[in-house]
Amino acid sequence: MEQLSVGEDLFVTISVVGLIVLFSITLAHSYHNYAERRNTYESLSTALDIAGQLKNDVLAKTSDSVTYGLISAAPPTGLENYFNLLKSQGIELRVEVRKLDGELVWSYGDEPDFLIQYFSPPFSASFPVAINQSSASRPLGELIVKVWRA
Amino acid sequence: MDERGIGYVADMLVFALMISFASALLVKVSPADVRTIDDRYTANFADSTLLALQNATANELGGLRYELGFSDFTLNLPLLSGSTGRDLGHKTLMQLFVEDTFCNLHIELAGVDINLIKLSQDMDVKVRALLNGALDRLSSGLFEYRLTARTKPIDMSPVAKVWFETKVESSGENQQRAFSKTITMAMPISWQGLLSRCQEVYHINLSPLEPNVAAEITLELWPR
Repeated sequence: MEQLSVGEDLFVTISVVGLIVLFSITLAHSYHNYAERRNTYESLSTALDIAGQLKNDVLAKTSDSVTYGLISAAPPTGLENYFNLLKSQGIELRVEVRKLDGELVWSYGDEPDFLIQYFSPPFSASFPVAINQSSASRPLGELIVKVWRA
Repeated sequence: MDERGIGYVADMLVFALMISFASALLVKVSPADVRTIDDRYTANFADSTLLALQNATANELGGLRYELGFSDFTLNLPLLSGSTGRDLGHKTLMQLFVEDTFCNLHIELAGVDINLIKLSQDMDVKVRALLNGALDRLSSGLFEYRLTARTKPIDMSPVAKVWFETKVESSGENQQRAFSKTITMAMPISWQGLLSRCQEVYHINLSPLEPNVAAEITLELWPR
């Protein structure tokens, strides 16, 4: 076995180890960025899908018809089933309906707790809607859907 | 440096090259462009805004009441007759916008727009203010907007075109990258009433217009 001389061999070894570490860090950083973007995209996409389903189907249904853009002034009965369906897929959500002045009309679902917010940041989407208080009173409002992974 | 050292350096460089290539691939292979999400959200927002305006009533935004004066020209609607004060708060915002469109006749003669008095000046001002307020609050600082309603231009002669058009827009500057959504709504007022009022006020025969004339409503959104 050859003896390691303090000089060129040590310099080469340190350079090789240093560069390997440097490029490993670069690779890890690239993967982290990629994973973060992918997670953000998937979460936002899920939030948009869920908000769309709520707005055009679950919350827009009356007893015999669906009126797009007009949502009920109280949580409908089908909302709990929809929540349970998403829960079985590991998705939690909170739905809020507010008037334009910020007054809360109704909400459904709990706010995510601190630990969940840290490990799985919630994503929210909000869309304009009309709130079906009565046939003569349908104020403009906002549907806010907050989605996170359980 | 001996041959073994040169070999180490060569190995290291090849390894570094492979790592760089893998990193570049990861950076490049993004699941989606940020613009894709932005576009999807903006499209959904425009769609929701148009639907909300079709359902929301004016009463909840302070209502819409306007007074008729002797100098004011108004549509001869049975619903509105018999009073100088007219309350349209029960109508949806989109119904009011389309009705306002038919108060705004435009004429183009040989390529030149001619300004005409509006069929109902007070209603026009109040409807536009109402919609401006609603859209400002709905867009909540995220988007600038332009809401336009117009009918198809009709050639009255080789050099004259007529159409109805009105517009509500935010104060921000326009951008090249705007998203737009268009819907079509039928005329919500009496066709005969509109024809006779236009003939009375403007002395224009609009009978070549189709009785089932509809207004195209376009909402354009672009980020602030």
